[in-house]
Amino acid sequence: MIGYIILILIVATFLSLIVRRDILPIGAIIISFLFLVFLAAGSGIVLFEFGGWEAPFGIVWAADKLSMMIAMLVTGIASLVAVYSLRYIKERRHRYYSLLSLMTIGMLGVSLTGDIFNLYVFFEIFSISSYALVAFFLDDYAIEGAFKYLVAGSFATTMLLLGIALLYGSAGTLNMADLSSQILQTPMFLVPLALLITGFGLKVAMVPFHFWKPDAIEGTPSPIGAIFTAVSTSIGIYCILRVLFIFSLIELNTLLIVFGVVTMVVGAVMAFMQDNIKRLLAYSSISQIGYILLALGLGTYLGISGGLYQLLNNAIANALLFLSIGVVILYSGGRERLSNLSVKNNILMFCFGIGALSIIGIPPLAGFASKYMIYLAAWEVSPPIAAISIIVAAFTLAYYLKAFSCVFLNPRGRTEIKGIPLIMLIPIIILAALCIILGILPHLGLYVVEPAVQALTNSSGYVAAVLGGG
Amino acid sequence: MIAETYITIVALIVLGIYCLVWKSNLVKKIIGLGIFAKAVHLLLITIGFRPGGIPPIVTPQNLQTFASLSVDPLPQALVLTSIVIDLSITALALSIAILAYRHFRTLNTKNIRRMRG
Amino acid sequence: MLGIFNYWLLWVLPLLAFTAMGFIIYALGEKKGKPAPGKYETYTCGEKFPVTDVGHENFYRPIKRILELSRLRHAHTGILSDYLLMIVTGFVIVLLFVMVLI
Repeated sequence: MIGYIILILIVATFLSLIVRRDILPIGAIIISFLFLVFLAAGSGIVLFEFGGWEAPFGIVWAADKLSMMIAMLVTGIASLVAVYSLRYIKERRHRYYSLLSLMTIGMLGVSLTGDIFNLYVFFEIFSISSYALVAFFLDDYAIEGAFKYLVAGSFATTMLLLGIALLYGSAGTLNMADLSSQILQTPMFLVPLALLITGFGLKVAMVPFHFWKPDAIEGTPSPIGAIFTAVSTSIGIYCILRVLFIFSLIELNTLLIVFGVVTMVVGAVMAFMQDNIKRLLAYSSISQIGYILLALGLGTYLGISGGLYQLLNNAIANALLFLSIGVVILYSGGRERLSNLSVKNNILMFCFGIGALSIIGIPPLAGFASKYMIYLAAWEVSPPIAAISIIVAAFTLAYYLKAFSCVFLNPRGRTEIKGIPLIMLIPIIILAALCIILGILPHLGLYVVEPAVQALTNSSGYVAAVLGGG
Repeated sequence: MIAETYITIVALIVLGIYCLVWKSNLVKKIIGLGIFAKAVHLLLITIGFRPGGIPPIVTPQNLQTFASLSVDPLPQALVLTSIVIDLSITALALSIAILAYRHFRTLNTKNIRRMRG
Repeated sequence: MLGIFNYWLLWVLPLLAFTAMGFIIYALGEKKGKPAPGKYETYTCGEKFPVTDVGHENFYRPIKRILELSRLRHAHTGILSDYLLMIVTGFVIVLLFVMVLI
């Protein structure tokens, strides 16, 4: 059943290159989002066996609630970005849309598959289309960002392939459920595990592997920046969670906590010193990823649900920030420096402010609900870590204050933005409304997150469902 | 025989990473990436190899002895897939290298550092 | 688990505080009105200085100075080889972690 989503998207991607209609990929992405919402309303794990071959022998797609949540996030953000880009991208639009839809295919495949080599293939589809999208504008910044991201990214994915090869050599299977039942914690598994964490960690942009993100985001079109900060990091975190939890390696939680705290601090300090708005947002998203890693590493029920809820809220708020700053950059003639970027528009100011406050974690907004859960969970495990995360939130407030005052409150050299097309404004307003609604009623968000947490902590159920045949 | 192949694989991986990390020319970096990827492909093939094995094709004659004699067919399928992926990455990387030369008039990555910090 | 959101004071108090702060700032701004022309011009020994204001890069200058934060910024050199070396170092760190923890 879920295999047909990919079929629709692939057909739309390649057809749109030939007939040059933008409506095809946009429609396909929106249809896949609605389809996934429909599927997620059902219960249990959705299985799809390619060619009718059963679990350990053929390629199986197994979508539990965690995969469903990530897939809905991917297609939801991608459809908003696709609608928004209709007015943002002026030339070579059919290529842009086919690349965007190819990237969505890759991310959907990664989140839904149950076979580790299939995961690698979709990961590569997603990576290659994102390299091409970074270089889309073909100016100096785009080319420099693209080749840095390309060389680093393909180094990491080759390490991933090496890890998968070693895993296959020692376990003799590629199905993730089968691997988890065969895994023995012998030294043979340590090197592949480290290779897998490194390979996925580059997409997460946790700290020793974070350098590509600001460079790539500075060169991309802003809507693609929204995809990078909101969705592609979620994909990386999803892969690391699959590796750690499906292989039941709960001992590695300390690794996540250490990387999370370092990522949080370094991202915040680097964002503090930026003078380019896109780089500032990129480093800010790196810092937020640290919160998610920390919360997932805490390992308690409250911590894991806080982390997944933060994943959701962070994606919504980052997409909101990038889409609204995209309008600002588009209308002020491509300027990105904080020193000469200054606009006047009340709707954009309101939406950017909502996104920034949500990321900082100010009470009535969505970011507070998840960060409050993270602080509580961290306080239970170790109070110093909770203190560090609150101090980092104060740093976040400091640099967003700087960005907000430079962009919207600076009276010198101000350009007034009038007549933003409705097709750009609607996605921004939807995201801002989501930020407010999920903040006032956190129950709605937890309604999506709680089944995902239960699916994540119940890895034996996943193994039984996949290997038992569906 | 197998031991020499594994030694070759380790040597190729070390060579590829050395070329990737320490050479500053962009094209040399792409070559290093290729060497690394090919070493991994060789590793995958070697994992499935069996000395004196037969090709993994089932015929009525070898139906009884097939499982004990044939090499593992799965890694060969994996390598085919990942060769295609490697090819597309190399093609994209070389085209970006051409664009980088047109924009910056150099391929030395130590001099292409407009974005930093 | 939703019980942790039931402390209404925690929600309402900051909201009230922010609203109050906003109103105070707004009221203060209204009361002063517009400054007389020439109020912002600087006279030094009869010479006129052009109006200058603090640039964005000086926004948090003292904090950056005291904490020596720019050292971290200089570590991001922008050279691809350094970044790839960081990946290799990160891999070694992850490997050590995995070996120690399992």
